Amino acid sequence: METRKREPSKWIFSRELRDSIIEEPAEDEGRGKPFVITPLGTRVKRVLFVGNVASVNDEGTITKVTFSDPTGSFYLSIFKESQFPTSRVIPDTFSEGQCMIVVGRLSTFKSQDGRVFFNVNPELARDSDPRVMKYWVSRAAHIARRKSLAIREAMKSESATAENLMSLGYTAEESECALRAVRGYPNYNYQQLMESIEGSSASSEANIEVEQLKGQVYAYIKENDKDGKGCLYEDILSFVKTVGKDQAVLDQVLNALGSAGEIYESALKRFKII
Amino acid sequence: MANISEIKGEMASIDLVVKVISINQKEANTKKGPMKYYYGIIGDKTGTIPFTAWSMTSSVRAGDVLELKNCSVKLYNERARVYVESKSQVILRPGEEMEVKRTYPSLKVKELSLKDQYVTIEGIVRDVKERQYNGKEKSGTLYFGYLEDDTGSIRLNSFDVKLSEGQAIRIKGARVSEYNNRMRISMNEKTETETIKLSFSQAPKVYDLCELDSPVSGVTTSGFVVFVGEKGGLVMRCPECRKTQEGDECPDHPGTALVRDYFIFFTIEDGTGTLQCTAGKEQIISMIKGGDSGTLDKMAAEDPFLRDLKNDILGQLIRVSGEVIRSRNGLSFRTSSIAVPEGEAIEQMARAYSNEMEV
Repeated sequence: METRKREPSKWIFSRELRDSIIEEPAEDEGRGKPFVITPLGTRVKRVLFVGNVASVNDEGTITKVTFSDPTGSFYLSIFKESQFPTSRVIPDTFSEGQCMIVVGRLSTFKSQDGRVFFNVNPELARDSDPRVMKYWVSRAAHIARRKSLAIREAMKSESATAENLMSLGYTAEESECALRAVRGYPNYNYQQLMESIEGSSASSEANIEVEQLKGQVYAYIKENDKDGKGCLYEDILSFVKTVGKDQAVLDQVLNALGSAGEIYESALKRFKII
Repeated sequence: MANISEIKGEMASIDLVVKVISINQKEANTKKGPMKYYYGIIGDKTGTIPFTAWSMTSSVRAGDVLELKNCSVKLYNERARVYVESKSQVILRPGEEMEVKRTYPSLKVKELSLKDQYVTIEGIVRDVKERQYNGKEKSGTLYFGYLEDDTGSIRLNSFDVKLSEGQAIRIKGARVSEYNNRMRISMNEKTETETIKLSFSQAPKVYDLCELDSPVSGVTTSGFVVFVGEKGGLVMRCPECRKTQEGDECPDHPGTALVRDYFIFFTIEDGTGTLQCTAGKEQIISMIKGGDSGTLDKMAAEDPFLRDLKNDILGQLIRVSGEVIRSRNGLSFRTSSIAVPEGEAIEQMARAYSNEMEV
């Protein structure tokens, strides 16, 4: 019997995934899950990331977990053991504010208006720490940076080939990604994506504190928005002080959550989950 | 008539006078059915180049001088190669002598592949041992060890040329081959060698997984453990040959008591690729909590040995050193040491990428 090779995981930021709009059918005659082609040309079916648990929601047969990375969020669905007894990751693994490494396969959903939503079905989730997250952020940014440079080269010529790009020092994978990106995302704003990624990487050290708090603040706003009008800034600040953080860190956290499209200011000094 | 040194890239029609340095024969299945072809190295006073001949008389031997007309030059494995085809003409020049300038690409250990059968390489000789060999035509002393440079290390066989531990040498015309899924280089009395001064940084380069594309030793890489195979566990091993044994004794070393050892295989990923690794007792210990032989023995005494081990190592960021091996399923990695970076070590790994933004 021919053994199927395990599809390697890709190290990508949530923003790269969120901006993806192209799916490629699986090679095995359409069986199995399709590959997603991201704006950087990454052909991905499985992701590996290190992030913070922003929220955990038990919805009966399924537990939904939101992870934040410095550019946005990954969304995970974990089925209860009774339904999928072979599942290797159980819902109890996750708690808010925790820094974890996750490996999982992607599921995609297309809305009626054509938007694509992504969900990660975790195969592996384990406690990690901010230093490992910093390493992952730096390396994932390095991988994205090289791909974006290869795309820039590929855009210079209509007849660019993988061989051309490899002769410039890019790897086979980077060259293929660049060609896929040019074909699939001719009008994509790479500057915005790279600013988001570079920003996250450059300030990743300072971000560790922010990242650790993001999940907790997100969860606090979600749980305490009782009247649907959002949470008061003062209340959030009081909560933040109870976990030993100051106003400056809170402001960075609110900015980061706002930039990632997780929250918005519903009224002056009031914050609400999107 | 062109010289070999004038060959630059692909050429449609070229005439050469060359000496055959080496020639081998193979059979290939083509659309027209099985066909014999010849390949090897030809040279002239300006250099050497590989060739493939679909049309060549079987009487050609190494050392013959040939006139080749209307040949083509194409790139094969990114290297220029002369092709003698049906349209080409091969004229044997019996009795003629020719001086050949032997040229070899200068490569580092990590760059070695079977694309270049003879190379110039320099490095420091390590772990030298010697034994007698008895060939059909010759007997002598084989000195063997490893040649190490700043990119990795490779098995070195030296027939009758003494090697000394720590000696820095340049070998011109070292032969590259693969044996038992590992790359090695060989030299003998005819190979030009010289002692040189050489030093390089002791800090190993940490390779991306996509860079590990040939079976060399002494390389270091890193990644997260994403999979642990189910077939690991306790094995009995012969302490002489290190082979695992199913029975009560090693057939090659009867009478030698087998020793308990552990074996696992696992997969690491670093965002650029994936690599299946194998680890023995010593390496497993460096990955588990507690980090000693007793903890591992206790773990192994428990029924779900691999479950406990998986809990410890899955998702862990590790740095591995060892050798790349070519197997049926592609390349795999035999670890000689494993480290779990912590604290400042992880910060350093992250800084390697953060710093590039400031360049």
